[in-house]
Amino acid sequence: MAISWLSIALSSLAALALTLLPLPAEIQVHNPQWLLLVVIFWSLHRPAQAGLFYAWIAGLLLDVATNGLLGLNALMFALTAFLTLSLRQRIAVAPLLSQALLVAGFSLVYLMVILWVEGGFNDLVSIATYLSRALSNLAAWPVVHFLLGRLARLSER
Amino acid sequence: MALFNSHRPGLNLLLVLIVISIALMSLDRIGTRWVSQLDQSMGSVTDGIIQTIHQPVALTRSIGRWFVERSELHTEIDQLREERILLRGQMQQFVTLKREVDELRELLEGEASTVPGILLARRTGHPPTLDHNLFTISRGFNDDVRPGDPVIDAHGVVGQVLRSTATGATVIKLTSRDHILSVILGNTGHTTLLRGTGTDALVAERVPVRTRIQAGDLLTTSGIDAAFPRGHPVARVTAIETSEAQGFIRVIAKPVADLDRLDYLLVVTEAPDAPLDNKSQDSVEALEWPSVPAGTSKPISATKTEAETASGD
Repeated sequence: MAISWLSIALSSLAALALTLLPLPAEIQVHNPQWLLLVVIFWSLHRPAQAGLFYAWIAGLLLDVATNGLLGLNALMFALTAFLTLSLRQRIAVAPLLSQALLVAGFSLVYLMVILWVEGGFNDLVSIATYLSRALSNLAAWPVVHFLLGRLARLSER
Repeated sequence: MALFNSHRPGLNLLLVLIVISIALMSLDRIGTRWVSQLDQSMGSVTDGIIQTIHQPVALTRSIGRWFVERSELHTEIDQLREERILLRGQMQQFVTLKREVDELRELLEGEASTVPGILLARRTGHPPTLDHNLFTISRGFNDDVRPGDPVIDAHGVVGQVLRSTATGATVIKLTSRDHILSVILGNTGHTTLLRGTGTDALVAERVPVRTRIQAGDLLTTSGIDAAFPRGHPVARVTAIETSEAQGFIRVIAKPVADLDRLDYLLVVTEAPDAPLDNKSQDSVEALEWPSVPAGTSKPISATKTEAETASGD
């Protein structure tokens, strides 16, 4: 059990570090939301440990790290985790591609809400960049699924 | 794996979390103290992460130093020495001038001018934002860096400290859309507000038409906003546009600070809250300036000696 907690915490920190990686501006906007993907993964596979509260804390950390409005990402993380946990029994057995599509859909809703709060909803360029971010989430989900799946199996033993 | 346990999330918990988040957001907007304390304490962790992942960059830079030619190094040292002597020479004048000004002001019963403390800091990384207007520096509140402190480089104003944590501080550039500061337009004496646009241009709206300003004029901080000390160079006018509103012009300016290549920066910290007499003695020690008569010069509290007061005008 302790190992499984540790793997959740460590993978979340690693995802946060990946999100904070210094990248040039052109690549930055396409950087997948690693932390969100990791939170979705753990809510699918370790619902007993990684629940709503974990997702909320992860979102709050992201808020603090990016100097955003405190609590916005936390709220959206909690809502995403809630959605994932509610649909868990359907999503977890779905094939990888449809899983990735669902995850991208979740993140698209998430990004649109963030965009709306930030007040850039009329800006076509920022809508396009947020769309491309959802697409890169789609591409990144198999990677997260594979890597964390191995970690989950390791920590189970 | 417990796929068949439903693990339905509790609706109550979700509602509680939603309420807490919304409360946090509104309190953050208002700027409550304990929210900023929470921000600060968690920020120590995240700033630490940012610094750690920036280590490889710093490492490659220090490895690159191994391959610099010896003669190149020597010429650079010579250059720096010359520059240092020049600056020191100018400093001599500066100290004397300052004393004179203070004496004159005393005769006029005005306040003595204060030169704030200056702290050398290093850029350590940048948090991901869409328009890249934030970066972190290596000094935090342990070094007396406070939110709102001005940040300058060798040429001019860079921005302001947004948040200061135990491991470092986050700085917002003056080109950010969220940044605004009060400047004096050239040598006209008019003050106006200079707004960042998210791009490389700064904009001052609603400047009266009769203001005698032209491209190439220097904008300096006015000191009215109480955030920046008076007289730091901010930007150079690049264009003047006629505004839609009649009788006004719009001034476009470009920052004089080298915002693309920020490495070492100076944080202008407030003068420490010590009695005046102590201050002047400290300053002489800090300047290593035995010939200057004590009693007038103010703390240029150079913690690492590199403090050069960025040229006044």
